[in-house]
Amino acid sequence: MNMEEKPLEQLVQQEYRYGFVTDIETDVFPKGLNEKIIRMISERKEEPAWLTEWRLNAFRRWKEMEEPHWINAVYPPIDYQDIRYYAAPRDRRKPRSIDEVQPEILETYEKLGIPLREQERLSGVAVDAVFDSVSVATTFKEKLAEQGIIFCSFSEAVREHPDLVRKYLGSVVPASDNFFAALNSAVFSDGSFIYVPKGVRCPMELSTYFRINSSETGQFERTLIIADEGASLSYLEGCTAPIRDENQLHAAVVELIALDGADIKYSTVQNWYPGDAEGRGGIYNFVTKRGLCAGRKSKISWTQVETGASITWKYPGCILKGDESVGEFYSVAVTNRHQQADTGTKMIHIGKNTRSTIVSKGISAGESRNTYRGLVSILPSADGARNFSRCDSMLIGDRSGASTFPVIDVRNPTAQMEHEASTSRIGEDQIFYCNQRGISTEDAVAMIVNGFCKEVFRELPMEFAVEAQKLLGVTLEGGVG
Amino acid sequence: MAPVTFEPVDAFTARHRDFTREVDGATHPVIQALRESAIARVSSIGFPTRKHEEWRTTDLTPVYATPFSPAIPDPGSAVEIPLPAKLFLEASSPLAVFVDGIFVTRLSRTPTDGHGVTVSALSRMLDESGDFRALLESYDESRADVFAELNSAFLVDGAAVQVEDGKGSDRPVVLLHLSTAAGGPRHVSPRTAVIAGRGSRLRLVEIHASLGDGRTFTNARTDISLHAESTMEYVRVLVENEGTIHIDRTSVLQETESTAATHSFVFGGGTVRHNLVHTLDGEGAEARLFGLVLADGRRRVDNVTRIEHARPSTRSFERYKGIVAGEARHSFTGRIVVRPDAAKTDARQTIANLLLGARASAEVKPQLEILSDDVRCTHGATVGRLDPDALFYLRSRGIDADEAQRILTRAFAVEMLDEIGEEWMRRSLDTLLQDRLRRIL
Repeated sequence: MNMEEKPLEQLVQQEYRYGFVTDIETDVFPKGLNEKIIRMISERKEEPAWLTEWRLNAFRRWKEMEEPHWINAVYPPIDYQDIRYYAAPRDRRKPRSIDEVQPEILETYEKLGIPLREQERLSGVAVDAVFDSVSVATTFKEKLAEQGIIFCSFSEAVREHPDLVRKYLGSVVPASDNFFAALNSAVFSDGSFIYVPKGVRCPMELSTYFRINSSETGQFERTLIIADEGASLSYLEGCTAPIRDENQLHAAVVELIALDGADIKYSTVQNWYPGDAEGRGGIYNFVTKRGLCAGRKSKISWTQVETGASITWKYPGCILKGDESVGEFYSVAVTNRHQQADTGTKMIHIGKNTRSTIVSKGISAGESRNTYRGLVSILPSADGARNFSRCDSMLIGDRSGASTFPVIDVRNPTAQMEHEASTSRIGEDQIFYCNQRGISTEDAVAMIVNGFCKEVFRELPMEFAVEAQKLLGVTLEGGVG
Repeated sequence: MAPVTFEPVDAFTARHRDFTREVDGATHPVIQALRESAIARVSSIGFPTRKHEEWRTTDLTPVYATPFSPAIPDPGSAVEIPLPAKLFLEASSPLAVFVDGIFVTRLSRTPTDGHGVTVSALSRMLDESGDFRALLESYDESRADVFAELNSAFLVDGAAVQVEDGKGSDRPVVLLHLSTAAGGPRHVSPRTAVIAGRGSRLRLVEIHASLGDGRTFTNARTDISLHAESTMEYVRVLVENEGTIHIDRTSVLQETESTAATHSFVFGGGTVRHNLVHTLDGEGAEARLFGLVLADGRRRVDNVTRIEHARPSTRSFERYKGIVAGEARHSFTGRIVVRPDAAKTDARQTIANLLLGARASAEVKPQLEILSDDVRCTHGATVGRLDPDALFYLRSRGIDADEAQRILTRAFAVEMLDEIGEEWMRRSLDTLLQDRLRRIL
């Protein structure tokens, strides 16, 4: 169509870097989903009876639910009986420290750029590593425990802190919330659990790294984060999976609870395998994430950089229940080739003088579809509520598509709501201007795209902001036009 | 939501049977055939409930639960034109009068004045021009709308407006719809077909008003075809009573380089839903959509617009404002679709709502669906209240609270009048606006 399309087009065709498979003996359950499988999962994890019952109830609800199809994406039907709901590295000893973790697994994480050992010594980021269905290692546990912070795998939390788990599990995303949340509630395998006690500011970044390794499995992790009164924490999750022709389902549930004056920052760098150039394979990332600002002046902030997965379908949201609570959502969603993303946020204003900010940047290249869908709901009780939303889309190449479907519902006349959106492309004149000054087309595109996303990257913890920028470059390689 | 006590499809089909028995033979054969095919489509499409995403914002329970009887022609009807409607009547304007949805030739003024504008009964036009038959029978299955089909199913006679190639006048054609609700709740089905020839000019004014307090279900449909390089300005004013449920569908098909401006003023009605579709099906076509809603009490107003950019270099500009008082609710859904080959599209949309009542609410759903990269699309939306500082300023100068609110609210609304080309029409609308504001505030 125009002259610079070709070099830009080539820019996008880079291969997925994290597509290797770790050859390790795994313990997998037979395919299929029924009460027996759920009991097996529960048994394997030595769960108390109430949790088994909770799972079974969720399963019963799930069976009555209909799979939703309103997403702006096309995919073949999912056969829920053709998935393995549990896979774990075969290692019966429970590793008590990193040194006891199987070397193959440590190697995997090193290849992924998450050297668990070094991480411990150098970077000062506490990591919980989740391999298929189980958490294999959590670093810095002892150091955090000194301040009363609990950071462990979900299974461990069930064993060690059953009261906390029982109190908060399902309190933000009930088992019957939606089809995929119900499925997760029935079969969830592992995930991270964080509790920061009253008045404690978590001294380091907390992080979970999710890795799907086995084939024909789904990953159904469950994350529960509680910040008690006046507590504060920053958490980051990252994810990858091997290259496979099949589609794998990832249906996670994340629940955040912020009590009075607490502050939770949740960042995601999502880089699941996006499928090949023809759109074969890739992860279906169907995730329910929600935060509850339960207390006064509490704050929950979501930042996400979504570059992977063949289909992304998620709306991290905030329920602003406490007066003067604050919700934030910063998102960059990049789609290339045949990727499809339908993502956004929900801000539910209930308390007085609650505030929310939404900044969403969508970039679609290749033949991908990128949709922003969001809800801002200001209920009659939310006197003086404020919302500002901005969602911008950038189109690269004439075969990609971008849609914006925000819903704004204001039921209180003292509220103020502003929403802005725009769609544009990288202008030929902008590229020309850069070329003229000796900047290659490739660098010019990277520069413009990074500028477009700057507002969001600014919100990421520093180490990850750099990583996110690089990731963006990789994802877009070959998709620019 | 009150339980629906019967299946709407069954109820409407039964009414259709009785209705056709009365009117068959007295109507044009094309219309008669259309009624039959349309009722079949109504049954196959079915009626929406709140579970249908597109209809979630509109409460259709009263449509289904009220025994509305279809209006049949009443040859002796004499009507007194109500005051708000009179504001828009000029002595010399061509006038099409509909009583309970049926075009009444006797009350209409259909001059032939050398401007090439013809206004007549649809049944008469069907015999003279094949284009009107095609427009009347046009049906797009992919965008099936049960209420548009329901209009055809209960059609007796509508109005046809035609402008010859290269002709036209600045004097507006007035379409006046009056509902009597005589003898109980009435179901009325007004229908208008408009064809503007190549390079023609057309001004249309459409008014919907009630005579008395009776309950009416108005299910209107207007199909407009604008040929290349034609220009249309279309002003719609709704001042019906609170007992009216008004569901309306306006489709505007625009060819190359045509320009259309639609101005929709909703000042009345109990439940109002206006579906407005502009299809920009020719290079360089331009659509401008304006809307102003004034709602109080428990009224519900839904504006649902769709702009399809189907060809390159098309432009659209959309601006809607809502003034919502009491416990009223205004919902706006504005979809802009840019099809893959519609390069160089320029689309802008702005929505502003002013909430004046403690229990007033507004919902905004801007929807952009863009399948082409060479576009410029923006949309913005705001919801808020009157600026307390501005109110204080006016009060500190001795203006009472109500008057201060009226001044600021009128200032918010008056911008929507400025877009209209005709001076006397702007004045009429301003008179009506101020009258309504005095009632609300």
